[in-house]
Amino acid sequence: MKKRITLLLVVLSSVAFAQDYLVEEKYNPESYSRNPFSGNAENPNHRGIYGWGLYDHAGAESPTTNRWGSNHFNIRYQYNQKLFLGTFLVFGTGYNWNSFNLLKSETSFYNDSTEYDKRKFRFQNITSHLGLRFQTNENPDESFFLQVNGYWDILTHTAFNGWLEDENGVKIRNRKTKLNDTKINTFGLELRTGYAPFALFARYRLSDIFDNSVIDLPLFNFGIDIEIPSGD
Amino acid sequence: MRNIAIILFLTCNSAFAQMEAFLVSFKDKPVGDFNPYAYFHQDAINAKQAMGLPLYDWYDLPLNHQYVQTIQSIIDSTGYNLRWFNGLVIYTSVDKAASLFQLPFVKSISSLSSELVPTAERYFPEDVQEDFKIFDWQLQTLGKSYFDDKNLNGKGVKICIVDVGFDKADLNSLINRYIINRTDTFAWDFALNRALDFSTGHPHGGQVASFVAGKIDGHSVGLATEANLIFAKMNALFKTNKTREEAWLKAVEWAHQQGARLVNSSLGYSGNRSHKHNKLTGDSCLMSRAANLSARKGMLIVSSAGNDGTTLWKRIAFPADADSALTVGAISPETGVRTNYSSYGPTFNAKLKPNVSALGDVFWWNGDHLQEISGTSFSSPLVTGFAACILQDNPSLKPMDLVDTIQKSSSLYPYFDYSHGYGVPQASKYFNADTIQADSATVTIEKSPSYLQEGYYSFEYKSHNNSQIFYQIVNKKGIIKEYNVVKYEFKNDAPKIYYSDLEKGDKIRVKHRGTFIEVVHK
Repeated sequence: MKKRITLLLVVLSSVAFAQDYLVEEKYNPESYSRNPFSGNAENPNHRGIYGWGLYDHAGAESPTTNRWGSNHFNIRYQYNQKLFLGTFLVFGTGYNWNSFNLLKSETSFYNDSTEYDKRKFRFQNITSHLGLRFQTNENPDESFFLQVNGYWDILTHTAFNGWLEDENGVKIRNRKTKLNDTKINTFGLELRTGYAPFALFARYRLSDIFDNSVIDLPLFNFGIDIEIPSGD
Repeated sequence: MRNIAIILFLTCNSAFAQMEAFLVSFKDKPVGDFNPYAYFHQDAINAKQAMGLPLYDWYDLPLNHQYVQTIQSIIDSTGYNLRWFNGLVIYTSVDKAASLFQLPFVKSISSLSSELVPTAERYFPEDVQEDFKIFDWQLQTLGKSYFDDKNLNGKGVKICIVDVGFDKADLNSLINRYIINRTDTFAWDFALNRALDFSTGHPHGGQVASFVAGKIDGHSVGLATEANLIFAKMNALFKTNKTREEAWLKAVEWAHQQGARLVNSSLGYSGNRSHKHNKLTGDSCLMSRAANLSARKGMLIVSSAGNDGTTLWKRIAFPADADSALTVGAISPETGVRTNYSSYGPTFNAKLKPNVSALGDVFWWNGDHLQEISGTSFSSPLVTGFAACILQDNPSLKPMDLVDTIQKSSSLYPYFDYSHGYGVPQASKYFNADTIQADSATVTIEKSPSYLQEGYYSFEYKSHNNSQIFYQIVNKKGIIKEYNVVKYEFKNDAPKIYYSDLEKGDKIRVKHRGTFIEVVHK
């Protein structure tokens, strides 16, 4: 069996490399170029960004949440404005969804809720960001990049959800919205790096979510992004 | 406090009221007595006579002094008089420039670019083996030995190197014989309008000149080792208000005045606010227009294609789009096809560019050790040296005849594409001594079996299996819709061009070694 697999791999690899295109170009006068100078083509510096990540305590002494189930998801628009060579000023706006899955033992938040089997905070924000982006060449679809942003989130929706199963096996979900002890504005820093449309991101929140809170929800989240040129 | 506020306001205002460079062209110029023998260098007179061209034309006449003085009385800061464009360069705001249209003698006002940059891609500073034989190999890609056999080395051909700087070129043994102890007017700094100082600036021009005419220890680095080089610098960082484009235009006029038959310009700019892709028509940018005019006047501009193959711009730079410039792209010594950084064509109006190609990754002697450098900046001077050898062999060739001769002498001719042009110029082909002439076809175009529902064309090697096949699909208008370079190992891996992807009248053109085939799809 092992021999057969090896033989198959050899055959497949020879098939894969048997034809070698050294140059492959198509030319269509109707779409002469795809760049911001052309005046008649898509501009790849308009970016749609879709990101998903996990919240992490990043070494905090007393974690408050489970990593799994504490998510960040965002959809953003970003424009890359060239400054010089591969250096760009970036700015954008969008919306994000955040979920924090509290540890069963966590009593810092709503300490009367520990009877629940699962508890989650959910926050939604309008987000905007401003930063610098460094690319290995001018085309964001063909370059490695490193991007450093400051971001600013404006809270639009808050919710606290608790799930439990009572002694009769009935599943109960309680939901409290419009939490009144949260801050409207939060801000932080973001680092993104990747190649072409694919990126890793890390965000660090510099402000608390809750007013007058002794400890706070995780400050750090990291994940993956995909950028899609959105055109003119 | 109020005074400080006013000063701040004025400072901000002056910072934002941006001074820009414009060329104000006049409607006419005085056609009086003009003595070409006083204006032109004797080499220019000789060159024009050799080509059978008139000694001067309208473009060489000086500007109307009254027009110049009127403009100077309105605009504080002015630059060069450009005879070819019958205009004066001014530095002012957009509004003030536009106001000059009120003058009855003003024909047009064009903006000038400061963004002209050398087309060197990158430098590898690490030492490599100190063996000058690498230079022989580099030049043999152009067939140097065939020129050697005929003792052709550019002798008697004047070549102007227009570049951003020539720092320490006078110290580099490759080319310092062209600089040291020279008493004629052979070098001018058009950024500062004074004699060229070889001790400052960018070294790019010295590197470029090396690949035209450099030699060391009996090894040639460029093909035209006996040509007469002159140097024009057009950049002085922070010290001049002259834009690079203005300096370039003046430098080209000067080169013509000095009798240069060739200008190597390893420079270009790849788009700005006013020059977008749709201006790549060969006659929009002032530099491109100057390159076209230059060819009419007997001086060929050899231009690097640009290094934007991997940037957003991708296409050739200005002035490489000029119809009458010989535009040179870069090929890789490893693959023999276009390097990824080399800008490619066609022009916006689908004209062939680049015209030809040459090595882009080359070795250079920096005075201390060999260094590998890259860019179409170095492809261009290799071809300039080639052109000089042909001009030495046939001094009466006019620029466009020279372009035609070089294209016909190139490795892919009559095949061409928008990455390689006609391929790499070959001295062997120039002398009709090509060693890769095929006695019989090395590749054939095969049609698919008739019983197949979806028909296609494919290729079959007849010899030299697994070597590069250049093929393309050309529409009825002669525009290349698709071009590829491919090699394959097994017959079944041969590329297939399906009938469904073709229109009636499309041509499939194939080049493989000495074989060239063209099939019309019916």
